[in-house]
Amino acid sequence: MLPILRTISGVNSAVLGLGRQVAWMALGLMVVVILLQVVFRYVFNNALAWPDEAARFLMLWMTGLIAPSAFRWGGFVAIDMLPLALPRVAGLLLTLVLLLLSLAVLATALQHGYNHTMGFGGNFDSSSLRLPFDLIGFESMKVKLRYMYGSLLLGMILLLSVNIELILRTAASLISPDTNLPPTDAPSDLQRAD
Amino acid sequence: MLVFFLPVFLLFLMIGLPVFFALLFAPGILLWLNGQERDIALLYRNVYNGMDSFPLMALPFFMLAGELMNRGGITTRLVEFSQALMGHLRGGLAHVNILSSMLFAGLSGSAVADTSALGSTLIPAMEKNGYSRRFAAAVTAASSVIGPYYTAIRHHDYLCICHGGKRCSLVFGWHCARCTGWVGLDDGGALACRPL
Repeated sequence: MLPILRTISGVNSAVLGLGRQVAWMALGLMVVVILLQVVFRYVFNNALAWPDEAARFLMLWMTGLIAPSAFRWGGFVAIDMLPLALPRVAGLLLTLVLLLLSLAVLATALQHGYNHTMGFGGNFDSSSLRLPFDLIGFESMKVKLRYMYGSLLLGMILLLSVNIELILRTAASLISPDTNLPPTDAPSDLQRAD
Repeated sequence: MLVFFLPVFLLFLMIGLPVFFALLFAPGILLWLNGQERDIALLYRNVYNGMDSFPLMALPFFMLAGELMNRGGITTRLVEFSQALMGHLRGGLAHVNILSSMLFAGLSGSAVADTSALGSTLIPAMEKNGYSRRFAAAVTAASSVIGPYYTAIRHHDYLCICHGGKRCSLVFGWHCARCTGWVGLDDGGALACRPL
């Protein structure tokens, strides 16, 4: 089990690290886009059509890319009094059950997410967001809604991968308490204090 | 079947399932038990449509604003100002925490931004001065709720409600301070004013 856990953990660390880099760039771009809209709306009195949708697009991708890291570091909001109050083995068993329930949710969401993204709805064009190919002499192209829906689909795939890693971590701790588990790259202030 | 949603949701929440999964699992399992599997697709669409919202962008921006204020030094100056006003009282740093939250409420109006900005400065300072970590975290969490009270109603158009919101936040802050005085008496006795 441990070699599989180390492999999944290594892949997750690399992919989620890349996702976090893209996510902070998306946050920076959101700030730029919103400030641009503020300037055009209140200084030039001529609001642009695309910044609101572009900012939403960036927020969706930021959320999809950062949520799996938050899940891996225990950042999802939950009432964890019961798993912590129980004896070690019972607490780990409950955590394992909760992770299996999460796995069921994610697997179902992945199936529906794929249908939603690749299906009929994803083929529609965005109302105002377009790729400005006209600036280089070609015709501008409207962005398909598929590229927005894809953010949540990718988020679900990464969450599923993290969920499998967490299940293996819990199972490894349950079988052998002294197992040396691979690190999660969590920042020091997000690691459990007590 | 819909009537079971809340109990099932609360049950899963209480046993420790994260809110995100509980919100999907509780209605999903009820739809499945009721033979409405096709409607589960609507749940997924609601997750997406719920996220695809312009006002929701305020959340990351509030947190970013809190972090910028923290790094830019506004938070430290707010704390120093509160220290000058309240620091001489018994339980000075706890009162400073509450007053800073009330001042910060006028700037950001977000409980999350308030907690992340003030908590990172004040919780270690309170710990260093002998307060327990639990007490410091509890005071920060309770007082940060003043932010949404203050601004949610301040943004309303009606003047009377605007004043009501301010009064509400002031009363809340006052009661926070009173409770801190009572509860904090048992907190190791480290309540004397000390410089940050």
